[in-house]
Amino acid sequence: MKPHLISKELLGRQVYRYHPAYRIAAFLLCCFLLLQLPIVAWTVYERDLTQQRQARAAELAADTARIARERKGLADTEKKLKRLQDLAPILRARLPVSALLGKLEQLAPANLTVSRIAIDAEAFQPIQIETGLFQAPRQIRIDIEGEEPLQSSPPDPANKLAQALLQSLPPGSKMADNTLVNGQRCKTFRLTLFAPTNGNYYGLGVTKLAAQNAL
Amino acid sequence: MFNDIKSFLQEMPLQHYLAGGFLSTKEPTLAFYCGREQIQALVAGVRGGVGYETSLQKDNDAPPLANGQANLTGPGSRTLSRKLTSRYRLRRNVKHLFVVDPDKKDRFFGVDTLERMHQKDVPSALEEMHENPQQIFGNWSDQAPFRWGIVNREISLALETNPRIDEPLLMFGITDEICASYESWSQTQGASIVAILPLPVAVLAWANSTLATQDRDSLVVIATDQGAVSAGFKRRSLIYISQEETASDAFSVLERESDDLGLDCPVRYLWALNHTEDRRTIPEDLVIIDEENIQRISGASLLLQEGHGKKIKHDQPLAHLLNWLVSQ
Repeated sequence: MKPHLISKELLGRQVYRYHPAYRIAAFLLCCFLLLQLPIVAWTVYERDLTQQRQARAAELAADTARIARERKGLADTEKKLKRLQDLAPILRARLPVSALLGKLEQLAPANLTVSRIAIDAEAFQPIQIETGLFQAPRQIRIDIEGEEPLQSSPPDPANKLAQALLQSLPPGSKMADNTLVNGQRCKTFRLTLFAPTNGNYYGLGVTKLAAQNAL
Repeated sequence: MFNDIKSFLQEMPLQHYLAGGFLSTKEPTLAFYCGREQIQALVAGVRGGVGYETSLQKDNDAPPLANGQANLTGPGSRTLSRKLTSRYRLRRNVKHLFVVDPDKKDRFFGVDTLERMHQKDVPSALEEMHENPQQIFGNWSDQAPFRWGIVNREISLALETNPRIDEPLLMFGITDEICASYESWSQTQGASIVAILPLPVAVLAWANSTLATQDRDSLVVIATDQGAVSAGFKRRSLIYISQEETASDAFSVLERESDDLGLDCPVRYLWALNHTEDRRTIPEDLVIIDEENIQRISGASLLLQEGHGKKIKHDQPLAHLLNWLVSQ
């Protein structure tokens, strides 16, 4: 039927509904828009993620500010702690002398007389703590002198003491001197050992503190 | 070119496309009869009428009445067109066809030739009628703008009119305000419009296509709520049309005019919307197109579903008219 009494404007709009060219154009446009959906979804997702990140960053900034405020109150304690921590290299470079003496007492055979024990620090290195300069040793020198009978059983007790002591000292320890000189009534021996200061002295019977940072 | 693309993007009927408009342009038709107080509708699928609604004027979303008065309540959750397509299980995209019976002052009918109008073709005549109706009709005094249509003397609603300049033509018009109210309503429904036809023109087209007007000269009177329209056919060619107050007035005028029209023993037909007129005042040898003889004229009864779901025989002339129009 002819479109009787219909306005030209309406007829113009109705062409969009029925003319194949407009329908194809609209179809292509809709397909194009449909293909944009993943991009739109990704953009929305990204925006959401960015908002979450920003919210988290703001939260962290607030936490940082709060922690900084709280830390301000602990500044004095921190300063003291720092000082103690600075002392760590010095404290580490120590020799448990009582443990060493205790070990010597245990290891020394009954037919051996120890006349002199000298424990000395060597190979110093400078350590700066705040405004002071300290010299911390890297090596400990142990000198032991004594006498043993000419005829003893078991034989050569000084050498046995030296070997047992070397095993008890930290890894890296070495024996520098093990001399035995014959006398008229007895033999005199001289032992010299070097041990590193930063080794572990568990071999001497020293035990580890239960909590290192219990300061 | 750029403006075309811009206006297409702005006014693209996306809902129509998404409801299947990309693939198919075969859409159900809702043919509305809009009278002074009554609105009826025939719902037609691709294969013809499937449903009939007899009193749509009660609906909140009813189309405007014949005087252009619209229901201001609004459509609510679903439009009337959507309700009807759901009820009769049809596709969502629909076309509207309006058969309107406007007041006498809001409509115009006339038979004339291009030669007498001093026009060379139908488009130029239509343009002149729109621009300068006084030039065409002489004593035109109506200030309200009209929309105009011209059909050939056989009243073929579907064909392009390309007559000789001395052939009679049927010119008809309805005020622009009434037509615009139907366009506006259809827009709210998301539907397109097939046409807006005055009821008498639709009836004359149906009569000339269905009745035996090719065998004998005929006089047809169409009685509606808004008065009567009389028409004379000389072997299928419309040669006379006039508006009267009542059917009896129309037949009286036709009696007086029949000699001048040169009709040879014409058959008289009466197509009446309602049977209220006293039949003693109208000729005895009259063929009344009513429920009793419409089956013989149209060839079959119309079996259409109603709102309650049952299929009912609809042999009112109006139902047959609407069913014929949707197939044109």
